[in-house]
Amino acid sequence: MTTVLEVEGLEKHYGGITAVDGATFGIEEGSITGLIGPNGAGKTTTFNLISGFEEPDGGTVRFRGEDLQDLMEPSRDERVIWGGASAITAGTIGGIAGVAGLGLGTVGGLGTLAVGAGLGAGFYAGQERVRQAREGHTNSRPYMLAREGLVRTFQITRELTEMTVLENLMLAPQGQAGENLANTWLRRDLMEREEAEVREQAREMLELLELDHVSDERAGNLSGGQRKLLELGRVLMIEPEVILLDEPVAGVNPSLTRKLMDRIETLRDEGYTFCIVEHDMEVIMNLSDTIIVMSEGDVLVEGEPEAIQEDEAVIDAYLGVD
Amino acid sequence: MAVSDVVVSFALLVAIYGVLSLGLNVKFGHTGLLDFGHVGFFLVGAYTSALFVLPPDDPADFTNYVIGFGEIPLVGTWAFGIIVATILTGVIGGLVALPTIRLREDYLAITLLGISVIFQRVVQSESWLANGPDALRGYSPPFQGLFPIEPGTLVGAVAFSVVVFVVWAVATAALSLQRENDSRLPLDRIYAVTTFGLGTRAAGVLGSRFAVAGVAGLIAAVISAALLLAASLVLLVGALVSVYGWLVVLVAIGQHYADLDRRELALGVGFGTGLLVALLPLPIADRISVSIVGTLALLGALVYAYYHAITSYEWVADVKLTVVGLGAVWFVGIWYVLLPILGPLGSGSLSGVLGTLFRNVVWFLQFGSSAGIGYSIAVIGDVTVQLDYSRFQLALFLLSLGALYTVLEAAVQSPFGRVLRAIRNDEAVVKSLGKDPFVYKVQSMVIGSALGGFAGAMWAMYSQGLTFRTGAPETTFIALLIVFVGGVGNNKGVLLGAVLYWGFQQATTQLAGFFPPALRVNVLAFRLVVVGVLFLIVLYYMPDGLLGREEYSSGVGDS
Repeated sequence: MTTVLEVEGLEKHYGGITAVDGATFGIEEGSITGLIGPNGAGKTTTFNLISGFEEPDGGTVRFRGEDLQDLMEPSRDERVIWGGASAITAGTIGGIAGVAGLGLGTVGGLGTLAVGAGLGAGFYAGQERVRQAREGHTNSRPYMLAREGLVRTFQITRELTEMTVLENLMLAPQGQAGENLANTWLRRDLMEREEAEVREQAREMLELLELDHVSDERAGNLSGGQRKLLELGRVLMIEPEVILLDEPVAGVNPSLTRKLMDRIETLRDEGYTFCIVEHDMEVIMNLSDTIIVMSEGDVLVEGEPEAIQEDEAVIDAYLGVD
Repeated sequence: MAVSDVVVSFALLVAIYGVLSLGLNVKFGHTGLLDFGHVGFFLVGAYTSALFVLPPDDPADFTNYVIGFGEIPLVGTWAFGIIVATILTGVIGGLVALPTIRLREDYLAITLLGISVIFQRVVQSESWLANGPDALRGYSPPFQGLFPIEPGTLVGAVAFSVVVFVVWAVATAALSLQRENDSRLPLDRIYAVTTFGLGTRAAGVLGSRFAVAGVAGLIAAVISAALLLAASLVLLVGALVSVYGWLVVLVAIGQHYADLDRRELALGVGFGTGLLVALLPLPIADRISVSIVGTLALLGALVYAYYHAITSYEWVADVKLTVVGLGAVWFVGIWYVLLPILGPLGSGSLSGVLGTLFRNVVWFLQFGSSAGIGYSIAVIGDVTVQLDYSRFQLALFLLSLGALYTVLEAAVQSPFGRVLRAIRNDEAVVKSLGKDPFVYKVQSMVIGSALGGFAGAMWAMYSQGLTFRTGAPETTFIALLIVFVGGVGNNKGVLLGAVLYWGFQQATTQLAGFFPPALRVNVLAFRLVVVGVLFLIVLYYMPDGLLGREEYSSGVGDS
């Protein structure tokens, strides 16, 4: 087994509070890893850090051996937009300077043109620099990680409440041709063919999650448990490698919880990797291959469920004495 | 001036604001980007296209402007100007989006408002650019030189047939939809005739109904051009096209209200009549104080009666909007057909009555101007008919609106549109699903702004003169109102909203005519207050607008 996600010396501070303080652990490919710990132990922050929604203050996270920060480079589309904007602005400034300079005769005109073009290019290069410097610290790009196959769900479910359940699922698959504006006009046939496939796939997923009877309902009308299912279905539609689940069964009834657990185990056997934060001890102990116990921002113990349940430190910190 | 001319000028504004509001709807309705500076793109589009068609600046006169390509062939045409204006505003929209798009709703709105004010100030104060604070004039709208059409010339016949094409194609497309849910009227037979037999036979070959409608429109256009060239039968063609249009409109109204039972119909008609009665004091009472108080009191009574009815009777509450709609149709019908003939009826001139009726029924043509073709009709006497420029312009505008609407619908009825709507809902979800909201927001701004620029170019053609007031912030809020009234994120609703808004404006302009000139300005200004109140009512009772958000439950291609 290979370690697909390596976390090393992870740190995150909010003001005076240290939420994550040097956590180090690894997640094995094709396994289910449970992440437990008392409230305020830094589980959700860790989740945010390893899913790219926040940037660590220290330490590294490696996904398949690559640093998350490198994976979150700007996408090609974003680079095209900024590059195009730079070119247009520089060209406009240069052009205006050139037109203005023509009044000064050929030499003066050429000179002004050169100065204008230089100004324009310099202006945008400078702005680009500032932007990169600023965004390096403040603006993460979690969508780049989802494209690489690392996805997450949210502790408080985030549905697209005004869209239907089916649409919520159909949004997820990666690289749909119809997401490209030009294709919606020029390659309508391709788009419609693909849509039919995606819809079929979404219907199957809904059947699996027993949500098919509400497929045309707005997601905002679903119950809390149904939302959890929908959210799980949505990340599965991406067909990721690693799925980070934040309290997947909170608020879900016992029989559905059972089904959900079976489903997660089946998916694990198919090769998916899971990392789960959950407070329901029965669920997490039954489901997990490995359990990581966090306390005060650091990893307290790491081991198999049976060993964790016996561990003195864990009982003290979290499980309590029966 | 016949009532049909009023309707034509109203439809021109609907087309312009329809395009403008569709642009805002892409940004706000679909993507959730609240752009208070949408008018900035309208302004840039209007000035850009005007500067392209203006002749080079003459230093001897008192105007100053910068380019003026009007005398260069191809570049100096409206078509080129519009394309450049649209692309330029799209690019500017993208550039403006880059630094601002990270801001959240209201901050974004205020920032963009500021940017639109900057545009307006630049136009106003840079006098070398586009004549500064003074109006930019001296250009004429496309093909205006061809009008009034000389009978028997090829150019005139072509211009005429363009309008015939648009009307015929639109009416035929509508009829092909209507005939599917009506069996009482012989619509199938009419359809077979108006499509020249294509509707039944070649439907399989041509594919969609819209293709059939387009081809039928082409055939009608060719025939009418031939009739015009060969025999100058302007009146015959105009009357035929008008009657066809009326048929489709009446069938549409009939089908729309077919489900109502008798008492609901009576209620709607009663509402419309009540509205008419409420306005009666205006033309009748001699003293202005009496007429205003009387009208306001009657209007208040009508609104109270309506409110009382929808709160006390369940069957009224079920059809509350339908009743208002039916009442409005009834009212418009009376205004269009009945009121114009009251004057001649009072003086007892039968031929005057018939003449007025005829002029309004044959809405396709303009009557009674100095130019045109003279006819003598037995019952109404001599008339001069012509196809005027505003009808031709309307045909061009409706073609543009239809084309842009189709293109836009294709863009939003797609996975692309789905991502936009997801961004409006929750950006974090979109990020967690591997899609970059930034890229989509920028694209949304580009499309929306480009539509704003296109609308600006249409405005430049329509108004034939621009001032920096073209970029006044009110325009944005009118567009926003239109979006809200019709339905946020619903392109069809936006078109309905544009019709309603300009319908209201048109109606109140007519009303203002009953007031003495000194008061007229105040009445027209007071409309803004009324519009504001109506806006609040719509937002309070129907936050999703009349048509609501469009449901995209099953995406494209699902039947």
